[in-house]
Amino acid sequence: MTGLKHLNRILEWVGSNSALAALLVLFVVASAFVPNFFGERNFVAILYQYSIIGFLALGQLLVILTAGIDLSQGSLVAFTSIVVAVLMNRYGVFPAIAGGLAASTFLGVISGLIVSRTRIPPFVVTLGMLGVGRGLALVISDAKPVSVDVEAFTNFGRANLGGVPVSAILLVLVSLLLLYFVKYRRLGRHIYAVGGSEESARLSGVDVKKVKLLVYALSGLLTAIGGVIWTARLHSGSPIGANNYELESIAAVIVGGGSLFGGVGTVTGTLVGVVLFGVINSVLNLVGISPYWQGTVKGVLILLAVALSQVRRPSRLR
Amino acid sequence: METAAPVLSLKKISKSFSGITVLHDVDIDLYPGEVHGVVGENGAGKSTLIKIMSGAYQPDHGTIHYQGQLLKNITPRWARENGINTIYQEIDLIPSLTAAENIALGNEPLGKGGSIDWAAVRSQARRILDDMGAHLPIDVAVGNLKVAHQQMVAIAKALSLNSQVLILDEPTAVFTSSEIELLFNIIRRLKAQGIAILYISHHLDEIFQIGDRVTVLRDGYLVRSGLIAEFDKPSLVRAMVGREIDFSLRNGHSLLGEEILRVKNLSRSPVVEDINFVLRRGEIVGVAGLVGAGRTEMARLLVGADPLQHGEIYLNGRRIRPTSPMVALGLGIGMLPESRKEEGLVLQRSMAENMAYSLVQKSSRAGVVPWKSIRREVASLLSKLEVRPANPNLQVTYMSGGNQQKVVLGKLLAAKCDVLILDEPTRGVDVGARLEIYKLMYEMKTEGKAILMISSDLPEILTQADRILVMAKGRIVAEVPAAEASEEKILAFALRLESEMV
Repeated sequence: MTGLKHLNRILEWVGSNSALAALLVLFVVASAFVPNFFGERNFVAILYQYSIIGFLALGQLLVILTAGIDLSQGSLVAFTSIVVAVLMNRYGVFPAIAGGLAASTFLGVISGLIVSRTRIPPFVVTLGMLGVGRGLALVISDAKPVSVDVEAFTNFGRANLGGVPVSAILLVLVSLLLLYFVKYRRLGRHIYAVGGSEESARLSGVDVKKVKLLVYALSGLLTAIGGVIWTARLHSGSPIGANNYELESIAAVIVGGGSLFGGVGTVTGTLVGVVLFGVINSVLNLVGISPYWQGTVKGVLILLAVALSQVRRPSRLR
Repeated sequence: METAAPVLSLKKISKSFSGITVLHDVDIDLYPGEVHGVVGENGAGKSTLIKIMSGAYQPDHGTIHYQGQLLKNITPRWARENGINTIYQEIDLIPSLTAAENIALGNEPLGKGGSIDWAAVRSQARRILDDMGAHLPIDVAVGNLKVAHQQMVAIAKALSLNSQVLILDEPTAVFTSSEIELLFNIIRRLKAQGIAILYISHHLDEIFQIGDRVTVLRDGYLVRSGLIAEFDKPSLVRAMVGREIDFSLRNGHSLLGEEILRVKNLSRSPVVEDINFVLRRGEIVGVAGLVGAGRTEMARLLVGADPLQHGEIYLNGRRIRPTSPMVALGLGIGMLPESRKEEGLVLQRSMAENMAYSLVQKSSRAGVVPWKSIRREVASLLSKLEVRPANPNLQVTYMSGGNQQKVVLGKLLAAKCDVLILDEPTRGVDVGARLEIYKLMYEMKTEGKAILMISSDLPEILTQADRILVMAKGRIVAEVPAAEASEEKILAFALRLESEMV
């Protein structure tokens, strides 16, 4: 009897923390059986690669919390990288970074304005912005990579503090900031309200338009931070890279407990989702699964995670 | 109380939607510390009145004074922030947030540096709920609370905004009697605090128990208004009914054939309880009742749209188990659903295709759709139904409500149904199409089909049905032959006043 109770409790925990449970299991199994998995070198590699997705996923989380979606992230990474690279070669590091952040945020603001002022679904709006961002990147760069040889900047891509990549530390700091924002600031808290029930939120005096504008703008900004780091690591701006990054960020949010219906999802869950995908990616590479198969494996894992997460759909009123 | 000035005063309020006037010159005054009941049949204009008070609609004519000031073009947000709060039937809370947070939402107490002070959020919620005399967990997502508790959270939320006027729209629709008592205690406390309450309810008992004044609406007109002491239940019901009924629409006489459908002890607690009735060939049985009486839910059980809890269904004497609407359709029981746009039609497809969906089931050979014969059948149905324009390739979304409804009927005819369950068959349909639908119903009846017609339009029930079942709170409370039925009688049953009215 008590054994059953324990089992129930374990199942419940797994149901509501499926990403963390999966991460723990995978981590233990991989450490035991996958050669070269357990070790500082591999962990650092995962952090390098997935801190970029991490920034995108945080932005995606905010958008998904309002029951929206941002498909433009991959394009905006490429767009940011081109803006940063072009500006850096002319005006130096800081104007370039500022310019890159501003440019991508601006496109996020445009998406946010359209989503909040019209009835066009976010899926369509950001699909449009996906084309706009990629197109602008191609136009500005004439479809060629723009190399960056400012060492102060490219070094930053590899920088670490006591072995931990600076980009990962930055991601943690930004996450803490967001944690505070969505828990203790009215505007941040209202993101959950809008996603939970837009009409109720509006009637409660929540400025729904402002909230929606904000999340797309923040998604643009956070994507740009990822884009700047990406540029530093590549030593160049690329108009054709970062394809499908938005899919990884969406997957991380969902696997981390977010609901595409809005109102449900957490910063920490999203980070767990990101790390989980980083670990999965690393394992697939280390055991030598062909990159062609990797997409399939990840896709199946997303479906599994979402199926599990149905357990935690919020119950509806009446 | 008589001498106090009204806190909210509506004068000569009119409102129409696309040419149909739903409120005509309605006056209503709400006094501090008083409960003002508003009663009326479905469609009498109660909801529109509330929406005008709460800023969701603007009146076409008339004035609203609040605390002595003329209000112009107010928004729901303004109304809420300035003390006019509505607790709607669909509760306006955010299911994923806690009770405490829902109460504070939009007005969260801030502490140091503008951060939300969560301790204050919780203590405020606790204080308001204690003042109301409501005891419920405040740290649970409201989606997981009982409906009665959700409503208390909604009231608490209104009170947190210093409500002067509280509008309760059918607050007890899904309450148990002990929950109603709890709500009344809360209302009494609010009255003592000088809050004006507008109380909309179908339950006249409640109006007499808690109300100080009552206003009766009928077809958008104010019929009577006064202190509750001036009324008794029969006089209130008489004021509610009395619509013009055109008996020339009378749907012929009964053509009783043999029994086709028998329903025994049908239940799905708590919405449908122990339903028993018989349906014969060649008759139209009307199902009357108030919104929320369980009529649609009962219909859904008959076609297997929802699973049965208890009960047996017999078709032509044989027990059937319709596990899905598709199975039911195969057996010859078809339903015209309440909302044709969501449940009855695929709006983006042509009317031929819509009708074909039910044909495909019957006539496919080895999974191949015989389009040629289907097209022939659809064409003959379209001419029978007099659908206009009679273009089978027209997208349904471009058709008028009445013609859309005919297409749904066509689906049922195409499936060769013998038992037709029509849920609000003429809702949102113009007069001409309404008559044509009546004519079709009559034809089906003469062909020996049986029709169960759910309708909130009492004149429609009285003119079209041969027999009337009245439902209340999930049960059939009365069965009345058409010849003995009157609007007053049906309504008395639906309101469950039969003992007091007779």
